[in-house]
Amino acid sequence: MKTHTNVSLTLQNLEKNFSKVQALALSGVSLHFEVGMLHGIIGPEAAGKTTLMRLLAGLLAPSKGTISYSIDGVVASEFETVRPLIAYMPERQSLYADLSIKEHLDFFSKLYELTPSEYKEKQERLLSITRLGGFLERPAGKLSGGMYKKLGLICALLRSPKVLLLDEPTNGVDPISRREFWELLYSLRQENILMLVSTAYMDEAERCSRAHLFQEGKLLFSGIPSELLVKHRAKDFNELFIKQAEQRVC
Amino acid sequence: MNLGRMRAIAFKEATHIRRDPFTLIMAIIMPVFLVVLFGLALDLDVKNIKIGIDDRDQSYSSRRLISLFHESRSFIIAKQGHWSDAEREIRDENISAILVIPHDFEKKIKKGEAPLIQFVADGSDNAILGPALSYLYGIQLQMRQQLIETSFQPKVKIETRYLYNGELKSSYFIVPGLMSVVLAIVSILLTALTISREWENGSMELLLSTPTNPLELILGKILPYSIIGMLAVLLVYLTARLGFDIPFRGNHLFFLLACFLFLTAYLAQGTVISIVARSQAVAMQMAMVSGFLPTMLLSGFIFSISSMPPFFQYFTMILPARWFLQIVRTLFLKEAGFMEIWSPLLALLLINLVLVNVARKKFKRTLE
Repeated sequence: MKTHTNVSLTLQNLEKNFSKVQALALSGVSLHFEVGMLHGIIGPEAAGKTTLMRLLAGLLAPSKGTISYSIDGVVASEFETVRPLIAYMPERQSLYADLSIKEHLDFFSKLYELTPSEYKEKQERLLSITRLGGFLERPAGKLSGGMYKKLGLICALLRSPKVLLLDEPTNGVDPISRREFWELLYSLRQENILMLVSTAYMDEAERCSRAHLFQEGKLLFSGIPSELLVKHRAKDFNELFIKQAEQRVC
Repeated sequence: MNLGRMRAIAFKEATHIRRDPFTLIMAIIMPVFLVVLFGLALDLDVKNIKIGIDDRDQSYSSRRLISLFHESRSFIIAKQGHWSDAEREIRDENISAILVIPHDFEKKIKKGEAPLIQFVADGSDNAILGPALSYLYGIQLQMRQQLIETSFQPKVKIETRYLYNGELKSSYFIVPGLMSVVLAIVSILLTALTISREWENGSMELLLSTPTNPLELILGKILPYSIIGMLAVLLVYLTARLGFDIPFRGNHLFFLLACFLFLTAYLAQGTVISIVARSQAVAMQMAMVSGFLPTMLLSGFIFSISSMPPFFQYFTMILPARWFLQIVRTLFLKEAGFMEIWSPLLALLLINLVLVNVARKKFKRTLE
């Protein structure tokens, strides 16, 4: 039954400020995220990507505005009802350096209360698509950047989430591993999950089904990547951002 | 509250501990080391009090008196001579007292009169002076018996017998107390660092996004450390019994129960610190200030609680060490049963419940 649950997300005039003196981390963000799509949160440093992700994961409370998750079209009244459906992968290193891949999976499978058979099946599948199977005993502290991110992803995916929040999963990863990582994300698209991926690599916008461009806490554009490029007469997203930055200076 | 998740957290913590020998050493070897070290150094029995003797009589009786001081082993005769200014002598020669035997000492004894002996003591160090005066009293009694042969028969005689610690050995008193101080410090430090470490290395952000609730996390963190703590208790206990020859006259089961409640109370206090501090360096300092100082000074280990001002007497009630010390001193030295220790046990239990609840309340599921 759970497998048919659809979760969508609507933000209304979302605002977050950490202190009165600082500029708003996020201001006036209204957005709708549809089910089953790969949404890219694209923006340079300090665009508010991490703040947005943390707000969506319930780790921060909004200063103004609302975040509403809808489960099968019904708006969830409390965050606690959606919490079990969300998997979140922080941008910061957040795994245990001294624990091996196997130990991470064991630990998280118990936190998510997977039955042994569920766990076994998930573990096999996730390890095969990430190709981490050969490194089970390697501690997280000794994994390469790309492998580390993949481990973070499988820890998040162990729980069969309906909402997947990935905060800069490809940051600091080499181009080949990045491509692999995106292919991994594509393969998850069929599973009907709402996927939000933030990134500072502009070229990655083209890989998303919807791109949401942020700058200094504000939403610039939002839409299907190819249409956005046509509309703003840019050949790629790098150009689009540079144009945008020039306009602001003028 | 899900037991499976709590177990998973405890198991994960145990894995960290296994991989980090420093924690194990700190938890198990440190307490034994500290108890041995302080047990040897902290001897409250005052011995070898340095005195000077000014024998102006130079008679058979005065020499007998001097030999009494010699034999007592409490005093060391550092100097003998004749001084006109005793005070300067005490100040300059680093001696605690000067005994002046007057020139008519023997004459008066023979006449049956009471001779006057002067004992000039350095009053600036109470720790030495108190015991010195009581030793002096003992010598005075001996002197009456040996020198003034007409045996002195007072009408009322007080005979003192010390129960539980017949020879008033201070190690009997110190080592059990030391045990509580050492275990307190080690256990508070152990947990103070664990949750703040999760904040510091970013794993808390991930943990918070899982279904784990604060209570599972807190109890899961305390559990493995309480097992390690009990191992430390065992070693410290053996050190006290075998190394310091401390008797144990109470019930071992109650002792273990008390140790467990005591450890968990400090582990819980460490957890509260860890939750509030969010950084290991701050947690460390808070642990030292809130754990070390009160346990050392206010638990009754060094200063007796009954002689503290009323406010502090009540204040000590929130310190687990105060109650544990009461239990431990009772169990080691007296044949005490449950009736003698139920109230401090209950107090420990209450402190545990309060601290775990504080930890749970203070624990926020957000990053702010």
